[in-house]
Amino acid sequence: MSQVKSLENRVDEALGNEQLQTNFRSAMDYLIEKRSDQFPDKDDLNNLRNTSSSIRSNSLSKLPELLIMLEENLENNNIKVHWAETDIEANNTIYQILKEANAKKVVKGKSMVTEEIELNEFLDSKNIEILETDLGEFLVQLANEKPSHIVMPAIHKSRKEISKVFSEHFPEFPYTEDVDLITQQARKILRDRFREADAGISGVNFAVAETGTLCLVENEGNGRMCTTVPPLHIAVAGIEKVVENLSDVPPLLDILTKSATGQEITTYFNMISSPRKNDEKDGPMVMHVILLDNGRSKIHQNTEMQETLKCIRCGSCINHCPVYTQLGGHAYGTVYPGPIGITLEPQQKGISELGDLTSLCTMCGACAEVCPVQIPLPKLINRLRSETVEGDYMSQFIEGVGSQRKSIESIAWQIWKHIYSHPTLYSICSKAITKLSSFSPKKFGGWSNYRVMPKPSNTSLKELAKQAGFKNE
Amino acid sequence: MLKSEVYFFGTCLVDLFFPKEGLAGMKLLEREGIKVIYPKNQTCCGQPAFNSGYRKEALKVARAQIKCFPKNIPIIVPSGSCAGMIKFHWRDLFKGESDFEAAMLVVERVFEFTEFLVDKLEIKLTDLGEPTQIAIHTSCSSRNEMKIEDKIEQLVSQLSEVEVLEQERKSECCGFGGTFAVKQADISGSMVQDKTNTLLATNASCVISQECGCLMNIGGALEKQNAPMKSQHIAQFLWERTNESG
Amino acid sequence: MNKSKNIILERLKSKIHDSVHRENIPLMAMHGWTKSEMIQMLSEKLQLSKAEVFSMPNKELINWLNDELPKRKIKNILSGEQIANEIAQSLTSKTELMRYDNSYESFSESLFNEIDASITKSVGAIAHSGSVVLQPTTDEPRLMSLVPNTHIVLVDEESIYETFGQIMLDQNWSINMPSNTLLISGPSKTADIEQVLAYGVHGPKELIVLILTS
Repeated sequence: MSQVKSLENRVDEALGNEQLQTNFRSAMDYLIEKRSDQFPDKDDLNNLRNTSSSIRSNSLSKLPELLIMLEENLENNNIKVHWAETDIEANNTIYQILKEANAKKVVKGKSMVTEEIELNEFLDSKNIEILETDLGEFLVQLANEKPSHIVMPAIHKSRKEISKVFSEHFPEFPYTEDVDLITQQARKILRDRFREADAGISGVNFAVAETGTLCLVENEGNGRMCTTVPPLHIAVAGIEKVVENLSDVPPLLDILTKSATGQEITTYFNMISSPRKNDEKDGPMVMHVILLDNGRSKIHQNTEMQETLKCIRCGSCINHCPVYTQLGGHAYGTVYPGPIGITLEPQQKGISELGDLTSLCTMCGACAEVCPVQIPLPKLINRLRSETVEGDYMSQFIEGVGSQRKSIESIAWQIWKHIYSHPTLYSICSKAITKLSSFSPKKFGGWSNYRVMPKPSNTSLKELAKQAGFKNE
Repeated sequence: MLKSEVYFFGTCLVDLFFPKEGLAGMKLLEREGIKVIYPKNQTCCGQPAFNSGYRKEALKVARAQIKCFPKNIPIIVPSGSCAGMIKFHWRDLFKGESDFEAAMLVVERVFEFTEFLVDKLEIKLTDLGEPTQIAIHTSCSSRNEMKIEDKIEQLVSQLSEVEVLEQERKSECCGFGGTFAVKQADISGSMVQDKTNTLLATNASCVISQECGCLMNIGGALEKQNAPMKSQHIAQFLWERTNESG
Repeated sequence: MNKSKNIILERLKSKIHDSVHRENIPLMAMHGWTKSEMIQMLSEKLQLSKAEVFSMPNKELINWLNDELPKRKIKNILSGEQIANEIAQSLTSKTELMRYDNSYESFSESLFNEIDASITKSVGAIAHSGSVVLQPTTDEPRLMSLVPNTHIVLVDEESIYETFGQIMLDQNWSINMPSNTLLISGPSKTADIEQVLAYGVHGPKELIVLILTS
């Protein structure tokens, strides 16, 4: 109940915030255009999507074998592998590794999976300093907020807001709204932090089973800093991130960068297959990878919903979602917002807690149109929506099936069902509605705040057709 | 499949709220030499319940439609979302049911109204109306699901006195989403306001659509704003402009 | 922890999804571009990302360095032994040739605070994406292409490939991946502040690509 209230409140807050509305509208327009520019040929795009989709489906169809192969090859490369079934386990494992290395200061590259396990809060509670280094994440962390978009974390903040936050934390620098200057100031600050850090933590974009290689995309260079400068590197990867072969990487990289930020390719593509070797002069001495489950293996068990795991976290669905454009990321109250968020998170955290998120969708299908790996998001969201109010076949996969069923709504649909499945009953009702159309309500819930109430006509089409002489069977 | 005789599946929204528009569609088909049957026992494709998660109820209503369309002739639907419901979602709805095959026999005969006019009838239209400027709103189902957004444009392009003005972000959802407009009324309200803003910026006199749900949403918002722009279903629009008696 | 591994794998194994036909990988297909077309494409894409690109015969490299380094006020330049051996004798400019002699730990102060620029080789370049490909070695460690403000990279014109897929296949990467492979496609950048592009966030602010012809 309280979750519903707070979703409502968050939605109200987002809709009432004009600055937010403006920021998001212009940001989404920008990202939509940039992506579109990268795909001038519809046939090429479809071919690339088909390939990418089949690569990801292939991974999921062989997931256990590929994970075992990945582990073997990583370990052969002197990269230690840990398996974590839950977020708590992942955090504890990371903490143990840091503790054994006596690590007190950690730098982190942009990683949604570490947001998912709430790593920062956990390490904070253990008195380990953890610093975001991606410029957007760094600024969001300074402002004590959460990222509002999986690829552009500070998209909800205006330049003025950023300058203010920056200058509050670093009064030694003169206040400026010049983007170049802020960037240079951040560079100075963060370079010191990279050098002082005892450990670097990153996510993983693709984990190649064939060669035991971790692949990371970025534009800024902070990811490379985090994974190269400190003596210890810990990478966290969802178990679905594995791909079978090295040759799977080029098409996925191509469609990822074009879909996510409308770039041909990111500034850096970093492929790591080993910590510092004996004859090398830099790179981390020690590397660990955490393979995180956190509900993924359960999702994998359901034939329909396992397509959720094809996601390569590009953010396209989010950018094209008209509901997200109205709300921004924070209103969802989840780590992942938009279409992928309302599909993934209720499956992970259960319907009792997050089932109402499935109402944040008009089923317009814009997301499915752009998903690089062809996840049928509206179909999955619709499925989840039905699980919130009925259905029990999914109860072995998700908590809380049917828990959002409300008696008034359910009775209304029973009545609807009776009327609409019995033509005689429908006939009586439609006659009544049309005859009494002048008494139709002038208001109905929130609808009438924005529109006039639709008025039933005083004859039905069935009547008109009959009067006009059309046959009726 | 015989093309000279068709069923007309009005849809629940058209039956009660847009009957004149539905009739216009039927008369247009008749004028083209097609015999149109309006099965008296039809009610609804089941979409409202399906999209609200009430699949058991949606199935009951959907299956009651099957026996209304026994003859192997096309079923014309003046709505992209209802046509889409039948064509793309009945498969999921009827999965494992004993009448799955019977349902599929209906599915394969469904055409959305503009799709039928352009692809099957290859209709030729002569414009008898006054010069006018309109905007076209294509429903998300027609665009993303059915992929027939070009049909309404093709039909309008045959009307020599009609100029089409294009609104910004024309492929963005209008915010109707069926029960979404009630369940998330404020988000929906904000979306329809954005939509009417882009439409009004074209200065077109009217917005045309193949979808009554969108029309109820956009038209209702325009009316509430006392905006000068009218809204109309494509069937009514074509009938008025190409029929001598108007 | 092995308990978790078993739980996870058991759950995954309990459901076998249909295996999927692997579609043709378009990026492995040959486009049939000529060398000069590829040089053109590579240069244009790099320049679009604000990298600088110069093409010159191998033997002109030293002249370019002697001209450009003082012009750009580069007081010192970090290089590996291989390149140092090739240019040390003929480097007339007052630019000091620096060496990444020891491990990072003893070199970090210099690397971060004293070095102006670095010069490295590459194992190839990719025309399709506008990228240079580095595989750091003992001689040219990873941070050379990340820390200094200016990074100069040498590309042999014979090592320019059409696509990422091709260089990977041709050079047999899957047989033996080095500890680190990097695709670099421009100077470091961000658009995190109001989507305004800013350069030199963490990595080099300048990327200079020298395509060496025979």
